[in-house]
Amino acid sequence: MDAALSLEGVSKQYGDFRAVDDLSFSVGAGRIFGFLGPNGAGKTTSIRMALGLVEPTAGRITMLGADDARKVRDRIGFLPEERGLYRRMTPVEAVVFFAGLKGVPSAVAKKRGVAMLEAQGLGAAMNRPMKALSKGMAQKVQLITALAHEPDLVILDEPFSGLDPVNQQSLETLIRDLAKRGATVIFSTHVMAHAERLCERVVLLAKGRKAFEGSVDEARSAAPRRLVLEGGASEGELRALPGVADITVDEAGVRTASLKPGAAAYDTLRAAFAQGLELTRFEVKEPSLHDAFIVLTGGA
Amino acid sequence: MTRLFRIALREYLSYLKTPGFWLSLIIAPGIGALSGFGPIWAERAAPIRHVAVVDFASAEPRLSQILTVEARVARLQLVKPPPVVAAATTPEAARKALQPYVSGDLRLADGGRLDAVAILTGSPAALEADVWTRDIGDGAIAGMVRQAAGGVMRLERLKALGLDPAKIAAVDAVKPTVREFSPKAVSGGQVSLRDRMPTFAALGLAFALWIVTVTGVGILLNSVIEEKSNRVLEVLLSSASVPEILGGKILGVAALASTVLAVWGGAGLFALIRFAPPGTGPALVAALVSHGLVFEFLAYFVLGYLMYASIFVAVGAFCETPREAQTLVGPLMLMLSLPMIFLTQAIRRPDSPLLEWMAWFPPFTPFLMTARAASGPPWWEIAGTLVLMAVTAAAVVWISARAFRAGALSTTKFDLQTFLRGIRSAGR
Repeated sequence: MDAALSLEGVSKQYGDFRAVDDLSFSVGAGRIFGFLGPNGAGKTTSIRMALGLVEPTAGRITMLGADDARKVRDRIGFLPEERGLYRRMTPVEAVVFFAGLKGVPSAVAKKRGVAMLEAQGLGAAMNRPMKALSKGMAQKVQLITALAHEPDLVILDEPFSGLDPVNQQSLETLIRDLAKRGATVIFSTHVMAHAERLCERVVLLAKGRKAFEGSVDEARSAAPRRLVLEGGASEGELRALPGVADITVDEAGVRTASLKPGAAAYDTLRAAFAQGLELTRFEVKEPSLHDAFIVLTGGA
Repeated sequence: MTRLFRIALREYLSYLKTPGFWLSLIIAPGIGALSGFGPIWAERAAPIRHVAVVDFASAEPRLSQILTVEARVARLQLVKPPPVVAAATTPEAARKALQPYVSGDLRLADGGRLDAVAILTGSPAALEADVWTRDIGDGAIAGMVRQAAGGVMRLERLKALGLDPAKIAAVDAVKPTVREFSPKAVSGGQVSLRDRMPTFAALGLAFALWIVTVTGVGILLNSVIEEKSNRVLEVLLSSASVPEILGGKILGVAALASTVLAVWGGAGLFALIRFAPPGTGPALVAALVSHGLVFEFLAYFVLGYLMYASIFVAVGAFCETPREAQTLVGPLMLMLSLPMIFLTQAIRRPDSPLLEWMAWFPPFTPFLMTARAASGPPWWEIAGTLVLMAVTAAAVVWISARAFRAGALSTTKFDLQTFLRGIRSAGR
């Protein structure tokens, strides 16, 4: 499958500060791709470089087959992290203007804009000035302005921030629908739950460097599997079990064993029962993307 | 429609739709008319001032005769002094008697107020006049008394030399005929209103250029600050190139400024046809075209506006509030204002070496060269300043485009180091 976006050895230096360091990854066309990392990891700078808004200090970027994203800007939809629209414009005018910049004729843009605004429950607000809309409504309008030209590649920088749970759910549905119609969706986030539900592949960024690239399952496997153990067995007895790397005890006294890479929870449990340890409850917990995030970023 | 024109159209319409634009469009010519005709209207509407002369020098009625001629122009009316003042036998007694009248405590017999009194002492050949006036800030009455007293003294001294008063009057009535000629006059000789028209037109165009530039760059600055603070710039940058955004914004505001100029120009033309002497309108049009004023104006307008507009757009990209912009814009506005101080001089003495040199400094060139254009500066000076302006404008646009890109995405406040680094690293 052709790559919709490809970065090879891309770096960005601001004076003495290296915002992005030797970043390489690629995004297959038609995929939902997560661009993850803690705040200040370099996600926004990388996105701006990918879009051609900021020139990389080193490296090569290819987007939709072009060596410069600005050559294919009409095929890209972009929602920046810091959002805003002209305060005196109405939602319909905003959609017509921004879609017009992407080459969509005004009449077509208006028709699409009205349909999309109505679909997002903004039918009653479409002719009110933006300054009269709530923050959530304005955020939806901005998303529509980024999508009204039906882009092949959609880049959303922290799209879930500021949205209530209902709107977060609706945005997840929208992202899935975009992918269904063949668009590539790249979104950045530091909330792993969204990426876990939506993404096929993710890149994890920490302190400007790539910490991981692969599928969500591959990311999860980087974190240790855990075994929750309750009962009378002592911490020392549990620590001595095969495959156990570490034991943590929470406030309620519940002990959780982190398993060594490759260790099977079954072997550890069998050894515990063989040794006659007193266990009243056990539970194998698969690592989440959040756990993987903590491990892979080193808690950055 | 290209991106540039879409951005220009949005910029144009966004201001055209505001009530403030229409208000300023109407109010500005009103203010112009008020500043021109206001003082005349105020003078005409002011009540006639009553002035009395108390003569202890036997200078009457000659002084009043001269004063009456002067008074017609200045809306003065000579009145007889109140009886109590007229009956005074000494200047001191007259002064004491007139005090309540001049201070407004007493009125004249007809109910009118006495605004000033001139007490004449000495002799007709050596007059002294003490002028008592109600309005301490108005020196006009004292000036007219001085003029009239001088006339009386001159006449007395000429009579003392043995000259016949009738002959003196005849000599005073003599008025020379002075005609003005210039090889640059259309007729090839005598200078007419039509010949002076280019000077008036050049001054008007220079003022118009300055007003449009100042207004235009102000609008642009606010527009970019609004886009930066509303976080629209990043979306714009992902949708259009920097030259398209810059060009669109500058073009949109230029169209707005042109609309204003067209409306004001139309109003001016109407006023010219309606109120000016016949032939003034055609003379103005001829002056604009035949001296190439309008073409020079257009060239300097385009280059000057482009230069200043680019700078202000770049500055705006680094600011999120007008307050932030103020510190940066202050010196620029000062530079914009400097040529205005020399504008009148550029019309009167276009060949002044200082002005010639100043006209080569690109930030001043559009205004000073437009003002000097009527005097017909050498072609190489026009061509040279235009080329220099074009090169400077291109360099400024190039630097501003890079600064704009750097500023639009920056989150820190403006400082020179960031600005220069932005210009160096903004790249494409």
